[in-house]
Parts: sequence; C-alpha cells; structure tokens
Amino acid sequence: MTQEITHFSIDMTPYEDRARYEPMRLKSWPRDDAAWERVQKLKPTLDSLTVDVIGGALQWAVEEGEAVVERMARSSIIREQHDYRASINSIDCDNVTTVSWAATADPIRDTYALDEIVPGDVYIYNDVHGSCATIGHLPDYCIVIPIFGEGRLIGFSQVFGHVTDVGGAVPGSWPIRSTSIYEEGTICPVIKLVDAGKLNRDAQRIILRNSRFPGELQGDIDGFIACARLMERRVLELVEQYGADTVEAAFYAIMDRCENDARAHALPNIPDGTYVGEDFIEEDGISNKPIKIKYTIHKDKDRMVIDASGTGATAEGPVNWAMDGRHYIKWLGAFLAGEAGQEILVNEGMGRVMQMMIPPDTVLSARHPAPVVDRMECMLVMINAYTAALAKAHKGNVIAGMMNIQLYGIWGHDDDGNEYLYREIFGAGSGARPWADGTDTVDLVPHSKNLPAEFIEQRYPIVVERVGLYKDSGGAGLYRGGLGYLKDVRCLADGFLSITAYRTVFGPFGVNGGKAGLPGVCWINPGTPDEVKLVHRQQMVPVKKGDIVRITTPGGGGWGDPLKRDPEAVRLDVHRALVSPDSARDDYGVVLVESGNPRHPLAVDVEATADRRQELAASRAPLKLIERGEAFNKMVEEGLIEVSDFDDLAYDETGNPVG
Amino acid sequence: MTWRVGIDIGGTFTDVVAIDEETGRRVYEKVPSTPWDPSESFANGLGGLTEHGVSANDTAMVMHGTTVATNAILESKYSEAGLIVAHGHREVLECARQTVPGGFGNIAYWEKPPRVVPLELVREVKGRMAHTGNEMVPLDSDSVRAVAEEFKSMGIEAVAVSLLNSYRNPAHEEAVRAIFAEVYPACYLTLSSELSREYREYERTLSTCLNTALMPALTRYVKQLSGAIEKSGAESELFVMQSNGGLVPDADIATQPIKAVLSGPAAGVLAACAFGQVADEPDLITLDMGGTSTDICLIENGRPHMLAEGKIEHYNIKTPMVDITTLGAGGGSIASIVGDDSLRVGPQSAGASPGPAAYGKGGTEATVTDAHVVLGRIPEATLGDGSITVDRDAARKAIAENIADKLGVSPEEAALGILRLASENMARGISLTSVARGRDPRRFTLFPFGGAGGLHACRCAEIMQTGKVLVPLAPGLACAEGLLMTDLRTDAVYTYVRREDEVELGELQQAYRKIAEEALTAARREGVDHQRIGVETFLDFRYSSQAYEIRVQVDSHFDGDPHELSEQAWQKAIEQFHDAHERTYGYSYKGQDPVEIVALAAAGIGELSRPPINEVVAKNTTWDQANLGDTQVYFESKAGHEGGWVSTPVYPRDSVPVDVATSGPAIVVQEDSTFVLEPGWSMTVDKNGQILATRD
Repeated sequence: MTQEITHFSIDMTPYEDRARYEPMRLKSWPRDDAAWERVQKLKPTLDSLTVDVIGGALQWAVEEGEAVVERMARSSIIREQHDYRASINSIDCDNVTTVSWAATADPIRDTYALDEIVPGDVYIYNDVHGSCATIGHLPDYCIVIPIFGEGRLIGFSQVFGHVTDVGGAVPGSWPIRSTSIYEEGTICPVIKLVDAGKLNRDAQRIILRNSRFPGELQGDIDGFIACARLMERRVLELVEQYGADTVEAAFYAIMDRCENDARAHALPNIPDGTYVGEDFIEEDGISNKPIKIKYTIHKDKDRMVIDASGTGATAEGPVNWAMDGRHYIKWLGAFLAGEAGQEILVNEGMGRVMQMMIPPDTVLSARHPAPVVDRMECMLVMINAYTAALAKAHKGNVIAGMMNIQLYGIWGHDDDGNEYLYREIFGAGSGARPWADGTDTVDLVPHSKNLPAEFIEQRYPIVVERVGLYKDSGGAGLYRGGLGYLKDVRCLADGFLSITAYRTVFGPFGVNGGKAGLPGVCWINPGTPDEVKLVHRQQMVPVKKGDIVRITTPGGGGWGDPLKRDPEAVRLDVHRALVSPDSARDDYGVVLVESGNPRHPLAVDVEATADRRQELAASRAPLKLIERGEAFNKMVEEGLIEVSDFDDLAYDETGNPVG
Repeated sequence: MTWRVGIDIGGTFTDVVAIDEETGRRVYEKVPSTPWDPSESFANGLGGLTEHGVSANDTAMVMHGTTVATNAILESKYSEAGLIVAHGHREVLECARQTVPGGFGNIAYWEKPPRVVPLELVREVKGRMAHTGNEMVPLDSDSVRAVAEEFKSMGIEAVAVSLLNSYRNPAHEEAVRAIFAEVYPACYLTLSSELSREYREYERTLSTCLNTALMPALTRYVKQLSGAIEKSGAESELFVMQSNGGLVPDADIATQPIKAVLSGPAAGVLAACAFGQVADEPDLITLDMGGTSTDICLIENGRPHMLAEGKIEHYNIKTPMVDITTLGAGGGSIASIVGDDSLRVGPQSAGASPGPAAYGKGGTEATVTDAHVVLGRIPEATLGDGSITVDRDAARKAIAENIADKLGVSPEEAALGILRLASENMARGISLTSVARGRDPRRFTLFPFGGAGGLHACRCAEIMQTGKVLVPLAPGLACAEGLLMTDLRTDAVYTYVRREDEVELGELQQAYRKIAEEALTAARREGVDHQRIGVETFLDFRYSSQAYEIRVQVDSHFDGDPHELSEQAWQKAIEQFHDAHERTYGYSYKGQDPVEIVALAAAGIGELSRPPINEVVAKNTTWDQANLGDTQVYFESKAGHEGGWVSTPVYPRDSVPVDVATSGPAIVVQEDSTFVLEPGWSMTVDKNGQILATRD
C-alpha cells in the first residue's frame, strides 16, 4: 500500500551494492580536456536566447535529418512507420536533442581511443550485446559521424533505424522463438564503414550479403549516412556563427534545462512516497508463462528512483531488453515530463532527476548471448507498470492501460516468383483518461504511420478488404478506452504469417473502476468452417492464396465507473457502431430504443436505464483500482501469478477507497 | 488607362488598392468590413474607387484574397458533409494514420479533434478498383442511388466521394457523380480524383472532405462578390489568390476551396517580398497583424518559405502553400482577468463589430487597440477617413472597468500589461518561424504590416533582439497590394507509376501533352491582358521502393503550344533526378538502380505585368516642420529610458523628409495604420517612402 511521508528522502546506499544492482549507466566518458574547463566557465554566461536559438537549430537539424531518412529510406518500417530516430550527442555521448531512444555514440568511444576518431569517419554497428546497452535488437542499424568544430571533436551526429532484414532464422529477422542472439541475424560490431573519407567496400559487401533484401538495406544505410551528414553540417554552421566553445556550452545548458524543468515543474506534482506497480509479459515464445515487470518507485522532492527488483529473470525466449537504467529513464522520462503541464524536451538531463536501478540477470538487464529481438513488449509493459504505480500516488488519476504497438507480417513469393514481405506495425486503443475517452487506433511512437491500403496493394500480393475499428474493444468506463483495429486482408499468393502481438489473452487494464480493454487476436478465414484463431506470438503460419487474415488489436482500458458514463455518449457510440447494444445494456446499463428519426435513430430510455443501472450496481463486486480482465484474474485465483494490487479498491470523488 | 484592383477583406477592414498598369500610380481605399455579408464591404470598396477617378470601365482585373476558407477550418464552421467510401473502409477518417501529434508520451494527453465528417455520415458502397486501374468489383449503382437519396432526404448539402485506388482509375467516382447528377443534382460534390491524383487514401479523403464541406460557403461567397463587380459596372472577372501565391478564376475556388486556405495571408507575403527587394532587405520576418489574427512568415533571399504539403490547424492539406504561422491575436483581441489576478489577452476578439471600445461602435470589452489608445499610441482622430473616430474616454473606461480596477492598478499600468503580453505572444510566433527552424531572428528585418503591425514592431524586435524594422508605405494595404504582384497559375497533376525500363515513351508523351494542354487552356483566358502565357512542366521521380519523390522541371516556355516530351528531354530529366538526389541527400544510384516515374505535373501560367513600385516625391521639409504637434505617450521604462508620459512628436506619413534620420520616440500616422518608434530607436524614410527603423 501507498504510504505518504513528509520530508521523505530516498536512501541511495543500497544501490551502490553491485551484487544487487547494476550501475545506472554501464559505462561513461567523463572529460577533463582543455576545452571542458572553458565550456564550463562559458555555460553560465550564455544568454537565454542564445541557448534557445542553438537548441532550436539542433532540434530542427534532427527533424531535417529524420525527414531525409523518411524520404530516402526503402524499408517500409522506416519509411512509413518512422522506426528510426536521430540525435546529436555531446563528446561524452549524451543526447543533447530529443533522444534516439537508447542509441548514442557510446560504442564509438568504447571501441576507439579519441585519437583514432578522425574527420571523415562513418561508424556502423548493430551489436546489441557489444554496444554499451544502446542498441535493442539486430535489425536496428546505427550510423554515427564524429563532428569536428574548430579542429576538435565536439560531438557526434547519430541515427539508428529498423531495417527490413539482417539475416538470421526467419525472413524479416524477427524470430520469436530464438533462444540466442546468434539466431537473430548478422552481428556487426562497431566498425568504420568509412575510414577518414574512404569507404570500406569489403565491409559493406559483407553487411549487404547477409540480408534477404540487400537493396532495401543499402538504401536505408545510405539514408542514415545522409541524415547524419546533414546534422553534422547544421552543427558546423552553428560553430561558424557562435564558435565551438559556445556551441558546446549550449549543449550542456540544454541538458541542464531538462533537469531543471523536470525538477521544478514535474516532480512537485507527484506526492512524495513509495509506490509499487506491476504489469506482465504474456509469454516469451518458449515457455508459456507470464513474466512480471515490477517497479517500486521512490519519490522525494529532488528525484524519482525506480527500483526494478522483483522483475522476472532473463527469459529463455527473445523478449529480453538488454539495456541499462539510463536508457529506461529516457524512455519513461517522457511520462514524468508529461506531469509538468508544459513542454519539456527530454534529453540526457532527465537522468539526473529520475533514476532506475536494476538487479543483474532480469528481463530488463539481459546480457550476452540472451535473445532480444522481441524486446518491444518490455517497452510497452514497462509503461503500464509505471502507470500502475503512479495510480497509487495519484489516487486513481492516471491513464488506463494500453498496448499500442504490435506487428504482423506475411512473407512469401508472388506469382512472378518475387519475394515479398508485407509487414505492418499496428497501433491500438489508448487508455481512457480521468478526463476523456482513450483514442482509437493510435501508435505510441510519434510519427508512426499505418500503411495505406493503396500502398499495400501496389507493393504486395494483398488486397485490403477492410480497415476499421474493433467494436466493443475499448474498456468500459466513465471514460471509454480507445478502440483497436480490425483489419481484413486477402492473400493473393501463398505465404507465411507471423504474429508479434502482446495482449492476446490479457486485456490492457482499466483504472479506478474502468474495465480492461479487449485483447487483440488474429484469425484466418473468420466466420467460415476453416476459421483458425491465433493467440500469442506465432511464427511462419502457412496461409493460402484466397485466405482472409483478420487482425485485431487491443482496446485501451476504461477509466471510472461505467455506470456513471453519460448515457448520451453511450447512445452516440452505439449509433456509430463502436459499441454494441448488448455492451450498452450490460456494461453501461444504458437501454436504447428506436426513435424513428433517420438522423438520430436511437434514443435513451431514461427510466429503463435508471433501473438497469441500479440493478447492475447492486449485483456487482466493489470497483477495483486496477482491473486486468477475466483471463488475468483467473490466473491469479488459480495461483499461477501474483500481483500486489489485486485487491486494491477504486477511489471515490473524495479520494477515499470505495465501499 | 487600365486599372488592376486588389481587394483584401480582413476581419476589421476591407482594403482596396487600384494600380494603373502603365504608370504604377496607386489609389487606396479602406472601408469597414461587413462580416454578415462580405460582398457589402467589397462593393463599398469597389464603389469608393470612383471617387478617386478609377472608373469601372477602366477596371481590367479584380483580384481578391480571402480568409473565408481559413476561418471556416479554424472555427470548424463548414457545412455538414457526407462521405462515400469503398466497402470495408467506413472508418478511414477514424483510423487516420494512427499518429499522435507532438512528442513521445503525448499519447497520454492528446485528444483527437472531431472528424470533418462524423462517422454517422459515412456510407460504404460496393465496388472496387485494383491498384492497376482494373475493375475488381463493379460499382453497385443501386447502393449509390440509395445513398444519394438518403443524403438528400437528410438535407446534407455537400458530399465527398473517395474510393480506393481512384487515383489510378476514377471511373467509379465519376459514375457516382453521374448518379448524383440524376438523383440529387443540387448536392455539392467533390471527387477525390479531381482534387488529387496521388495515392494514400487517408490524406486524399481528408482533403476531399474539407474541400466539399467548404464548397457551399465558398460558392455563395464568390457568387456574391462577382455579383458586386457586375453591379459596379466593371466587366472584369474575379480572380482569387491561392495558398501557393498564384491567382485563379473564382469558379476554380468555388469548386476547389481547399486551394485557398491561405489565400489572404499569401498575398501579404508576396507584397513583403516585393517591398523588401526595393529596400534591399531580402531577409524578412513578416508580422501581419490585423484585427483578429497575426500571420508570420520567414522570407530568405527575397523568397518565402514554401511547403509542398501544408497544414492548417491539425489537418495536412495536399496542396503547396506558403509557410505561414498564424496566431489568434490581433488588435481586437480582448484582454480579461482569469482567476484572481492573471491577465490574459485573447483568444476572443471583438472583431470589426462591435470592435474595440475606442471605436465607439458598442464595444465595451478592453482590447489591445484600446490599450494603445489609452497610452496615447494611437492619437485621436487619425484613423480612417473620419468614418471611424477614436474615443479615448471609452477606451479608458473599458480598460479601467475590465482590468485596472480588478488588479488595483492605474489604467496606464493595465494597458502596458496588455501590450507586454500581446508583444510576448507575437515574439513567440516569430520564434516558431525562425528559432524553431534554426534561423536566428537577429539577422532578419521585421516587416510589420496590417493595421496593427506597426504598433508592436519595435517592441517585438526588442524581445527578439532584432535590430531592424522595415515599414512599407501603406502597411494596412499590403495584402491588397500583394494581390497585384503575382501571376495566374493553374496546376495539373497526373499519377503515372512506372519503372524507367517499363515506360512506353508514346504513352508517356501522350499523357504529357494532355496535361500541358490542360494547363495552357486554363491559363489562356479570354479578356485577360496577359503579358505572356506559358507552361511549366515537371516529372516526379524516385528510386523504386522509396516513398517520396523529387520533382524535376522539364520545360518552361512562353511561346504558344506545348512542347513535346522528346526522348532526349526524358533522358535528361532522369539525369536531373540523379543529380538532384545527389545534391539533396549526398548520394545517388546513377548507373546502378532504375528510377521510377510517379507523376507528371504542369502549371499553366498567365504572366501579368508587375506594376512598378514608384519613388515618392521627396518633400522639401524637415522632421520639425512635419511634426503635427507633440502628443503625450506613455512608455514602459527600460534600460536607458525612464518610463511614464513622454512628449512625442506625431508625423503624418505623407509629408516626411526622405533620407533624413530622426530618433524616437515618435509616432507616424496615416490613414490605415500607425507606427510607433519606441525610445531607443531611430528611423529614416527611403525614396520609396518606406521607413527603416534601427535600434540605437
């Protein structure tokens, strides 16, 4: 249970024990060069507008650079779904701009001495376990360029992106049953693809030869290099205008801003104390058991410390995330920043306000040669665990659970014998908020886009018969969870279906009396005698020419008591066919009748609704703070899993537990 | 003598500029806007010209910039529309592209705005085209007929039709049009294939919905305006500015209003480019402040930043447009107290009616304009032709009652607070267009126009640390003037996706000829005295499996019939693409990978003469002689300048010395606007009558 303590101060000594906790950042590159002292002296003297202008220019450079990738890359996951991020790093490999997720220039510093890093170098790598916890899986190729201003190294421009294929056990390099990194594709350690301006053609040939789609890979890598060069050019323009010392001083001032803003505007909104939150990975592809991610969050006035003790051990299957606390903070930091009610640019400065401490050998701290390709579920479940903890701090006033990324692919050969891989990342319904419904079919990642039917049909032997919303998938609540997708595609050629979906049995949790959203599953030929329902991850399921593959994605959890939802909102949802009349009656207690008006064909039967709501209220169990859905509750009751907040009750309007 | 007339209808005033095409002589007219019926102020403005000797018979062309489409989108005040989509795709607007705007984490906070067409007004029809253009499932005419009848009975006056793969073969969409013509001919209909021949169904559908929802209002609007022209006795057609800075006949805007979403502001930007050029100030940040909003645009090397695909509000719109940032703050913005003591300015505006309290038209709220009046920054009896007088007592009363009394400060202090907030808001907008694009505002010159730009320019410049301000001769009329500084332009695009080794040259040449002729026909209009008529043609290329294209210009000529696409021209265009790719992205696959052609595009251009920007007649006068008499102005204190009431000279814009410097504080008044030279600034007037102010 939550405890509120005045003048609470986090005890950091346990986290120094290396047997119990890994360091927050595995390696760092503190500097003591001659420029460092000048830059440190200059930093406090910079006027605010200069920092604004340099910060704006760097951020714009990242956007321009990313636009180059979007325009030039060839893998659809990069081009249409924006699974790539660029960033500008300081010389000590901190993200100055918005982060490139985990990716930084650390592996360059780890591999080469400073005097080996020379102008004209371009570095490339995807070596998960050999890149200082900055690359999550092998399809993420990273390109780094050192930036030399006034003759000295002042930072790096860097971009990673998810390419279509890097070899390994399955087409698309996403083998969901791998038990070692070696099954997941070709490992490229940190190398100089271009050494002082000279392209290493042999290395390039090895990299391309190990992909099933070498043309796409080459286009992507060339796009990354163009992006990094453009960002380098923009930084050099700033150096020309302001001088290298000022630009570097601004780097550090920009990171200080993140720290100061988060501490001044975000932290005070969370009560001091200790809060626990958990969420679960459904299974790991090998052993059919849920894996827990558990966060114990300590918060005092200066910082938030997230202790991951109690998180499941390194998994047999590839759901591991081989990172360190530093990356997780840059990932979760956005959600802390969101508490500020004003925009905070999340960069490396966040790590000074928010820290994560992880024991060794967990699903969040897997090391060589653990399989990692499907670490995405960790990324999503982690957010829900964080939210579940904050639900206790904020007495239920948090967004409900959600699972807004999943991936489906069909691979095969078309009638002309050409190999194709139709692969799409799908969003889902977002969780309902204490003030609004969740959003239908959205992706967690900014700029991610679904694939237009008109694009899919041009490129692949696929007809998109239907794309729409998955009716009744949003968790019921005072505010309804967003709806997931329902998409039917018809195969025009035989092929193999692979599913990387994460909420196929459990639903995203509802909060403060809201119900869980529906899980999203996959069917082959639904509604026919041959119907096949597929749950969990699946690899290379055969599909025939003419088959319909139906993909549904989960709805977000609901928020608050569904019986308190405005009946007019329920009526409109039914009119729009987002909610069924059955759900209106049984989940929301709203009884609708035909009105005879073609513009508004349904009307709320006010009396019947009042009766129905009374009847439902009398017969139900007390509302829960976190409701994880029937399938989950059954496993708890059977003793197959444990969760600490199973019996926590929802809060009423006065902030007291109901009942 | 022939006159070209530009009319810009703003929220508060309607500005008219007539230019003698030969001599460049300009005649100005300004009348209050009439938002209940814009054609009224349009007719008043046009009629007012005769008093300046511009007769209707000599009026060759009337050009117009409008904010009707913009405001309709900003305020979601467009017609209720229906949408017809292919079977299985009813929720195309709901799913959109699954993108949450803003940074990572915003998924927790973002609320999706209402869709242009609500889900209950979307209908599916059976029938399906393949991406090849072949019919997969024939169109079910009966279901189309039933939908047409249903929309008719529901009173839905506008309908969008957006069927899958219609960019490749529009036959089904055209069949829907034919059925509507029979069943529901009065319905405003937009086919997605008429608006855009580009793939990606969500974007095309959204643009189609916005377009059709705007059609009823825009059709009525241009009809009213052309009626007003007819009534005036002029025989001119009405030409309307598009968001890309080119003019089209009004009928085109009635059917494609989406192309006019930035019509009004684009004209002002064109004027700024031209005026900046003659003043040798090619790098400008425009500050176009009217009664209800402020538009900001970055001009570098005399050219405005353009976007290939624009955005208004949260909608991406598939037409090229000038890169303009709009703020909902203007002279009419209302100041209010929120909570106990928090001062806010906007977003509500008193608009033209009732307008600021100082205008004595029934306004009682405290507006930004009232704050200027209270502080003496808009001297009494200087606005307009006497039809609007400045009532200082009314302004003072509004500020006192609504703001000062609640805060327990003097009306002057309250007015200063309002101006400080308004200027900070504008500085933030300037920062968005410059700093956020990596451009240092300090190396740009601020170019204020619109009625209120000059009142705030020096203050904004100080906040942004910009050193220079350039004020055009007629700041209130810049948008109207910009209308007279561009050409007629009609664009046509045709999607044609083929790898270069699959292209049949004959087929390509035929398509090329067709769109070039289309564009030329559109440009070659009767009754327009073009300098020259021409066509620019383009091909869009990419490397196979890239998502975006690079546009390569093939031809630009002004000598009559379209040129053929010769084999050499085709090969040369491919070369140009490789080069452009190399230039833009640092590499190309020349000699390695085949390119893919994606589309052909043509722009028909009716070039119009550019009226000269004339030198003003140098007045044989000094600043002292020009002074109308000092007035008391209340300035804020700042480094080196004590605040409070300061005796300040007032100069009439039309009789100031040229090329002689003077220092602030000073106020320059003219019919359509006021410029405040703050303490710590100096100014000179150049030969074209433009004021260049510099910070000491």
